[in-house]
Amino acid sequence: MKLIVNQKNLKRAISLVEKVVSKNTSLPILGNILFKTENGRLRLSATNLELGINTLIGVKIEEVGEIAVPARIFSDFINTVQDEKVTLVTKNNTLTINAEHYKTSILGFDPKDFPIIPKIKSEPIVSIPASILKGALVKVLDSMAISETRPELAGVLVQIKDNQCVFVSTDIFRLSEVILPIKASASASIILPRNTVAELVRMCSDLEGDVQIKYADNQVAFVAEDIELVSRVVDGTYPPYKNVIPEKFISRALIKRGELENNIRLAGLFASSISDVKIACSKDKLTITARNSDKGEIETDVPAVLKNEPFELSLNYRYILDGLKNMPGNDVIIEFTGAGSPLVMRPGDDKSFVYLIMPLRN
Amino acid sequence: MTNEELWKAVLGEMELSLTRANFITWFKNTTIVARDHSSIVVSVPNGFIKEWLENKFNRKILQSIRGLTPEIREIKYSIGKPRVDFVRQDISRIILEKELEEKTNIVSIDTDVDHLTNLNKRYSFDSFVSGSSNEMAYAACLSVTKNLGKIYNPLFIYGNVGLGKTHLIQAVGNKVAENKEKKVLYLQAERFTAQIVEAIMNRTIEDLKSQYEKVDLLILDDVQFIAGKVKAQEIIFATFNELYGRNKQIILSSDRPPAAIPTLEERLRSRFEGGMIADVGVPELETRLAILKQKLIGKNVDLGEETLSYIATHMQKNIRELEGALNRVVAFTQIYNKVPELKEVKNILNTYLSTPYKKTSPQVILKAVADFYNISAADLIKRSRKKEVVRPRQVAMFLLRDETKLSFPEIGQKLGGRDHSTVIHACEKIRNESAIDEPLKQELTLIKERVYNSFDK
Repeated sequence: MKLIVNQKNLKRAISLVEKVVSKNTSLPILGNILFKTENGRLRLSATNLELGINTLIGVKIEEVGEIAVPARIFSDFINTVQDEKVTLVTKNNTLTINAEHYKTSILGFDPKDFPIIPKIKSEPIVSIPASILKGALVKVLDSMAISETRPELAGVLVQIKDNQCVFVSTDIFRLSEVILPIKASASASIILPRNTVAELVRMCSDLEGDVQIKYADNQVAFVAEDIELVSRVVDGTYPPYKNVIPEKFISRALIKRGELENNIRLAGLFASSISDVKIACSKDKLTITARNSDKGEIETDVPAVLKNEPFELSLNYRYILDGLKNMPGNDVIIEFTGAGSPLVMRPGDDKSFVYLIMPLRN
Repeated sequence: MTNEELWKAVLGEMELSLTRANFITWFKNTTIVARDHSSIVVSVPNGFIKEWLENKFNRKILQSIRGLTPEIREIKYSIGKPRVDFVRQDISRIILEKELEEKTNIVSIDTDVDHLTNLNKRYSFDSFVSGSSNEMAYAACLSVTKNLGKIYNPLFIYGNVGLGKTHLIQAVGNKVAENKEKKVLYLQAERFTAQIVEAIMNRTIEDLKSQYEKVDLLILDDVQFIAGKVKAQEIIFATFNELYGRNKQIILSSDRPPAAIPTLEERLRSRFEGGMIADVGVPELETRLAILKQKLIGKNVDLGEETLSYIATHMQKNIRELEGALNRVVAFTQIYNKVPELKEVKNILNTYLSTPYKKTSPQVILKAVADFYNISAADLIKRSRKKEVVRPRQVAMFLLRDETKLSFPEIGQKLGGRDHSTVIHACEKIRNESAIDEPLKQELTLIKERVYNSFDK
């Protein structure tokens, strides 16, 4: 293989794929990025056998070929190189990089040992603009379960129906749901693993245009121009989360989002070891109190417009902040649905996003 | 050659030609799922492995398969779920997972447990089977729901594990909670202590107390766990007095009567004994049978009289085990889609019934005793008559007699050739003392625990 490539393009492509490589030391080939010339362009691939990414960049090819190179060393190297053009030459599993001021050889692996990233041949189910997909995923990112004890919760449920696409995640203490109106050609219900969601967010932040979703045989692919992410899906059924979202509310309050976020953060400084703050809503204000036996206590108010009865409950302030962070618009609505039932948060002018927090029992 | 044998042979061959990491990565959880005269289908866990086997190992696999069964010409790969026979071998695991799921659901949002009262809605009087062993407790609970706080206050229910104490007292709670104006609180004693610890840390102990004092019905489960916890007992005492003084109902449960709970303060003991004490015993055969039938309602399976009576006859001590055994059989019917015959039932329950018999060896006991008293095992055998050695030696003799059934002369022999009358004296002495001396009794239990634990290692 012999080719000339723009350093910026290469850097960008490497940063897209390098996070996927596995740290699995028993199979060192998984720590590599595969370089392969394909139809006049260069394909970079990385995989950890759960998740794989392929990306294509334009290069000037003088001789076709392929090689697998350890991701760490290559990425560290290419990030430091300043030259605009870089020449990559391979010989006997060694990659020689020649720029204006450098001559480097990196020891690579036999490309024959690199895993094959499966192709999903079926037709795309749906096509979503990358920025919108990213927006939806970011909102559900925080409430995925971290522990793998219930693997189906350590991921995001993506439910595609003919006119909408629903993204849900919950770690049993809070739940987020985002509904996007879309046109789909088929319906599907997929649980994306945690890692895949994080990678997908990274991938989408770097893209313009649409992302197509393909699904077959327990594998899902997200395909955009020049980049493709293939992942396994979580084997299991998602709990019937709809039952948890209360249909009616007892009281409802409208609050300025920025002020609330600020005050919750303030109160959080004095939360005890279980991160609890108490919020009490009266006719025209929401009072947040927190007490910590080692630090002290705090009481702060935010103006609020209350409908129905006053209420009070204790919550984990981190969960409130996670929810507020993702609320669009200036106003936020919180709904009290009874003691022991979840607190519901929604943006002031948007029906598509719901965030639930289970109260702490005192 | 069965599919399984064939695949094992192939795996054996592949393992030799690959590194360990490679072999495990690519061949874990693969199996032959179908086979006809010229081709086989291999199931693999995911797309990456499918691609790899198809493109890299196909020739090798085919070669080794044809070495064994030359008529096979083609291998197909399919992405599949874990194989069926794997499931078959492991019914117990499925049940375990089911139970686990149920358990984890208790903390999840979609659950039967009420967040305010902590009661599980599944427990009701309707689903409780009463028989002569628990008649009294059942009747007492029922009448408590009708005259809250007036007749049997406090109500103290005791009985061994898995006999339905929790079910009964939660049923009372659920019944009372139907009346929305009554405030019910169910607490496990362990949780109760945890709350107190937390309240002490946050200095909110008074809030906690006043919270308990607001309820109309307080249910404390497994109250024996507060034994030895001074602050918890103090709070229970205060709460108890407050509630009792206002004629609010209190229900307690424990695995033994109040008099037998060690290190329970006298003032609490007398209060616990002040109301009604009822025990829940081991159910007799007819009740067990009735319980099985009750549990089957809603499961939509018919197992037949013979099977049920087999389960009821063989699971005698504990209703939880009884239910476990029933679940196992029900799982069998769901997996195989047929009602098991008696012979199969026996097979399924085999592991339940024959817990392997573990023989206590004298060496283990001697070591446990020596470790416990922090002396060397040789000291036990020596002729020394120092006080710190004599007592452990006597304990060892007693335990040897009790646990291994060695004869007195044999025990004497093991402990450095002592006379059998020395051993008799020691055994009697320890037996008599342990009846009245609480610390000694606990020492014996601790040593026995060590002995039994050493089997598990």
